[in-house]
Amino acid sequence: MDVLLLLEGTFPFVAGGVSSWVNQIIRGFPDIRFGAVFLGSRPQDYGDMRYALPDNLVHLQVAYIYGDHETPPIMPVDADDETMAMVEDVHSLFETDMRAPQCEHMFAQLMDEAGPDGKLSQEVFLYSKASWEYIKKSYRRRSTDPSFVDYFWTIRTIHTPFWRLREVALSCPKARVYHAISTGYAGILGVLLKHRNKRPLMLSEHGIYVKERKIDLYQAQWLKDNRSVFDRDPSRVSYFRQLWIRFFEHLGYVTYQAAGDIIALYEANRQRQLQDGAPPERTANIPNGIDVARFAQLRSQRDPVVPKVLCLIGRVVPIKDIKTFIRAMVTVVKHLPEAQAWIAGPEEEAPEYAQECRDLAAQLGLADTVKFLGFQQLTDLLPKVGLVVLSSISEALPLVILEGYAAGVPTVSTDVGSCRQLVFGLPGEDAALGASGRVVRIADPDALAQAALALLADEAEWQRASDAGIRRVEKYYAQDIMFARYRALYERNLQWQA
Amino acid sequence: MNPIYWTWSAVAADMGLLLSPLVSSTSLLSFWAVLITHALVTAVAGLATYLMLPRRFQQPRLAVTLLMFTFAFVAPVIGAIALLVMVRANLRKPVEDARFAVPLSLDLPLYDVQPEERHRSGQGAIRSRLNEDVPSAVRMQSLLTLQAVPSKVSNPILEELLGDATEDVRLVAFGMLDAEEKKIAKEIRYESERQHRQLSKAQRYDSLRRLAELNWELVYACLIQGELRQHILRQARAYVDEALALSVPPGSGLVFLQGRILLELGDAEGAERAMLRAMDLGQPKTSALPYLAEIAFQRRDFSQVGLFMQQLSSLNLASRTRAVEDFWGKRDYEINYRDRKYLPHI
Repeated sequence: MDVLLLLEGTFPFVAGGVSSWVNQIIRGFPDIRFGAVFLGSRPQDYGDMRYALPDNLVHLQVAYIYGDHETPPIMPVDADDETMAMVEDVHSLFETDMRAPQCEHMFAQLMDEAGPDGKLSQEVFLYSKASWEYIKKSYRRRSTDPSFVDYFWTIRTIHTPFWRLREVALSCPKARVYHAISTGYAGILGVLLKHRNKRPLMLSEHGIYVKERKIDLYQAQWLKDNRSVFDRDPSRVSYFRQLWIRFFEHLGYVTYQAAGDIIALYEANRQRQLQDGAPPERTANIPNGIDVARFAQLRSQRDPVVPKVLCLIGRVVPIKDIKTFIRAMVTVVKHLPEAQAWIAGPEEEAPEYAQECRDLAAQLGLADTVKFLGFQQLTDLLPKVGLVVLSSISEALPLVILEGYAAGVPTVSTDVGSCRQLVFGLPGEDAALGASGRVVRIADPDALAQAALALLADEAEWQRASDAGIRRVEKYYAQDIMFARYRALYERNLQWQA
Repeated sequence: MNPIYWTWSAVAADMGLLLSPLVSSTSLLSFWAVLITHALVTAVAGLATYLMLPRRFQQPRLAVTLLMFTFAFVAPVIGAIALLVMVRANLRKPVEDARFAVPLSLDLPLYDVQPEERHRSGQGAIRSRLNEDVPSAVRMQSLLTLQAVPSKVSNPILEELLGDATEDVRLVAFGMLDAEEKKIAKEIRYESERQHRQLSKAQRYDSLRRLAELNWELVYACLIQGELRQHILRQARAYVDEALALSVPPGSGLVFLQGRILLELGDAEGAERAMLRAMDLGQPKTSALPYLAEIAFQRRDFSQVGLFMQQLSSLNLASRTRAVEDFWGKRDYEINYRDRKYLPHI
């Protein structure tokens, strides 16, 4: 096997931008033999495969971090003093937030001992007195939350995936290059595989995993905060929240230290990787690209009159903030009564949210204006659409905008990820192509509606945006450009000799 | 049936086969009969012992099953018994270990938690700590502080932060606003569904009142803006009108709400009528008079404002209203400033 892709919660079981990109990359290099490891949380969280597997995907391994594997039977076990000292060293690096590049090797060496016969087996972690004493000591030294019981279980939960990841790393076939598509658990699996097999690790990040986990954790309701009313200071993040955030920050940092090539989709994300500890000389930007020719032929199918159809293409999930799109339609139909809102995307991932969206449309009297189309073939859909709308609260470099451009459809997008760059271009030649749509603030239905109206009600303006979009996607976002850059990276890494 | 019984049955069958006259027969047919029966019995023993193995020894499945089979096949009866002994010993070991382990009494650590370093900020400091030139960790902490601030105050700040340059800040602000909106929307859905049920007049009145209040809450908590805000206000007014049209004696609260909605919609005359009626129905003067004064102020009828304010002077007022009342009653002296917090929020 040439390249083993390390995927967390994406291809082939979850549909979405990252999964489509993975599919595109595998199919784009038919001469490379790919393998993939899918890491999921629990089996029941995923359904059937959402993608047909490409012929050059020669291995697919599915592993669940919190699956139903056995906990070792309870038995007396002694910990080795030297190993515990090593555990303490690694933790003191992490706990004091020290950025030590050697942490990658320390961590990997520690994991070498994590096998059933090693000095740091799961039994040692779970049942040894030394482990208990160390947890107690850490609690006394660091915890600002009064509950030792919660601290104890948080520590157990946080650490458990490492033994699982080690098992997965042992069972993975050898590959010439390991390519993680995120930091987090997939990244750590990459660190272990690199250490074990002495082959290069690449990292391509679409969103920034650490940032996304942090945002989730800041808002998570399941994290305990046992401070008394007298101790509770709302401006202080609770200890367990901090602990989880630090945990993911360190997973990211260790992965960045291990990866030889760290790829972001656009500059703001690369800057974020640097901020999180990525060595600058290993980072680069490779934007997404699409098959322009496939969508270009749709332009001839378009009606000369711009259809007054605003289409949001994407999964019906909270991150897409479909409610803002629906709310914007209140204003749009007031000024353009024939306007229609289409929401084209699968609803299975968050059926409750999809129902909330339908209820909102009904509540706002928009049941006839807002249509939920489910999953649609873009080649059928795009010729009938006047605007591609993206109301997401977070994106990286959304392919639907590029696909719309190639089909001659401008966009109105929220100012997230690289959308501003996609609409106005990077400074220089790209920006000189003109605006290929509008960018608005997140969660601002009025601004979204006004931007859409400005394009839909003015055919000349719409045409200018459409032309700019076509030129932009052809010049900067064709998939050949992306493939050429990845080919160079793969070739260099495949030829790497220890 | 438990695999152990299958194994013992196989052992018994194998034993029976060995003692049978077939074994001593020299015909080819007997030889094949013995061989095939032994193979079948051995397969049962092999499979059953495989199933009894701890899961960690069961991989690779085919190789382990074949090993078991071969072991039982080459040594009739004894092989199967040896397998059983081996498996039992393995199964028992952790149990035995656990049984004979000396339980340890572990002492729970004392609650000697280090108190956090305190840097409490007044609410007024939060806004400045949210400025874009402040380090992002401090901004995130300040953002979380807003959870402890009334939503009427925090939501406009969160709303501003939706346009922040830092994505983390934007997303956390969005999450906080979204969680609140979601809570209200859920209740609106519940009440809207109730409207389709068979309800008594009093129940329908309550449900419509609740719907009006919830829609008003979206406006009051600054969760919606622009055209949508107007739409929701009109919807709230429609619920109030529908409730008041039912022949149920109206409560002063609903009429007061009607006044506030009309005032927001720009219908000052309607709002004034509703406020006066609400007072007739028992709405406390402290809540209705300031709005009546506001309406008079909008009309530029300052003498009327003074009269309403005069009526307020003898009432127990919130400090912010008291400041306004002092101004109109010409008691706005500097000495009073120290005694009250004009802006207890931000």
